[in-house]
Amino acid sequence: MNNERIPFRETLIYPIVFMIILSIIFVGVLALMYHATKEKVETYKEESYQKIVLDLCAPSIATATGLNEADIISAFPQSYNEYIKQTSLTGEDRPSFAVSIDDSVIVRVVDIPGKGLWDKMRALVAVSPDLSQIRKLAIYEQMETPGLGARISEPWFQEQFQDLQVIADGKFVTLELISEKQERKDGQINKVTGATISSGAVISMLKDSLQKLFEQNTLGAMP
Amino acid sequence: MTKKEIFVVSAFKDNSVWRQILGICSTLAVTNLMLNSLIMGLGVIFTLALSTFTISLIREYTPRSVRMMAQTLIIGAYVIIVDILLKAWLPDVSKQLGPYVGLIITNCILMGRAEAFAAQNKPLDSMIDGIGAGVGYTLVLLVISFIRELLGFGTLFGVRVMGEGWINWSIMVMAPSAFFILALMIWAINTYYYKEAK
Repeated sequence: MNNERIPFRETLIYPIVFMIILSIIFVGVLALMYHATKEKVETYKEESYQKIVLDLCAPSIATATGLNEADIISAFPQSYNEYIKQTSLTGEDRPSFAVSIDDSVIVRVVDIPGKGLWDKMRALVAVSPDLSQIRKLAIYEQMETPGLGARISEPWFQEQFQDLQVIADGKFVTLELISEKQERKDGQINKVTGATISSGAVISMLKDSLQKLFEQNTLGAMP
Repeated sequence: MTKKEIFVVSAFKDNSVWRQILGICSTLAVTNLMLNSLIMGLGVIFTLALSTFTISLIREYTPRSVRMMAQTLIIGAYVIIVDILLKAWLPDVSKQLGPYVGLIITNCILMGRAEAFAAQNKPLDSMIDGIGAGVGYTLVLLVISFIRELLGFGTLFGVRVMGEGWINWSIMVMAPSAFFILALMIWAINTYYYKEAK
């Protein structure tokens, strides 16, 4: 009878033990790194979000107070805490924000969801107190194709929605997509070349959310 | 081979893209802007350097039957480590990178270098080979994106270089243009760079 021992590294169990040890080491390192940086990442996320809200409200605050827009933005977080209050509107899935000067709301910021080509997208939209006009738009979360659909986050695309009356006679106005270099007229939006679906998704997101919020919130019922 | 030769062979002579036709998906996807290409390239160089070093370091203990599983685990872990570090310490860069960090895992150059070089060679040599492969890949991305961004947007690294009258070539913004440019590039390199070898 052959009693010769098989070296451990040649046994069937060795690859299993090897993979378990390797997985424990790498998953352990990842878990430690994740937990060590979690708080820092969360703080940065929250600050970035608040900065976007302040940036969206800054033009309206500047107009109402006579202050310089750039000074308001650079005074973060003091300016954020001073002017912006969290609020809520009927039909929202995330809290909105409002700026009040002399007890009167001058601008609201709503956080709206949409569906892009590949995944969900989200935008913060500064709107007039009656929700009928977009003051400023910031698409802050999207997973569109890099270099194509992802260009919806570029300033030139988002600036097209600035001070745009989107609700007229209780209905969302029709916005037509035209090519990127074509000269734009009222009711037209230059789309991103090669990203018609992503460009249209932004309009759909605004239409679906703002129409719904407008219908569910009357001026009297707003907090 | 000396360390310099390892680098030159990996980056140029046996370039992953034009010689081995690896990493084509990302080459087509990210080359419409030079900044995207540079960011992707740096991410691949960093991950290649660390993963090939680690794979080589444990090569004596890695059972052959599970070596590819182990390589995938190591590459995936390093990509996530890069992602975590960027999110925590360079959040603005992380934001710029967007989905690119995750895309590095799918780059077949990483598995290619792990299997072809790191699994049989010393850690430092493997690391140099990984850096070389990454540099070669980045070079190809930058050449293609230079042509695509210049003709498609009239800019380079986002800075306008073409005059006001310039009309952008829409085809250059889309993926098919990368097919044509890459094919022409491979043809030109095969004809001129490898002329002597033939």
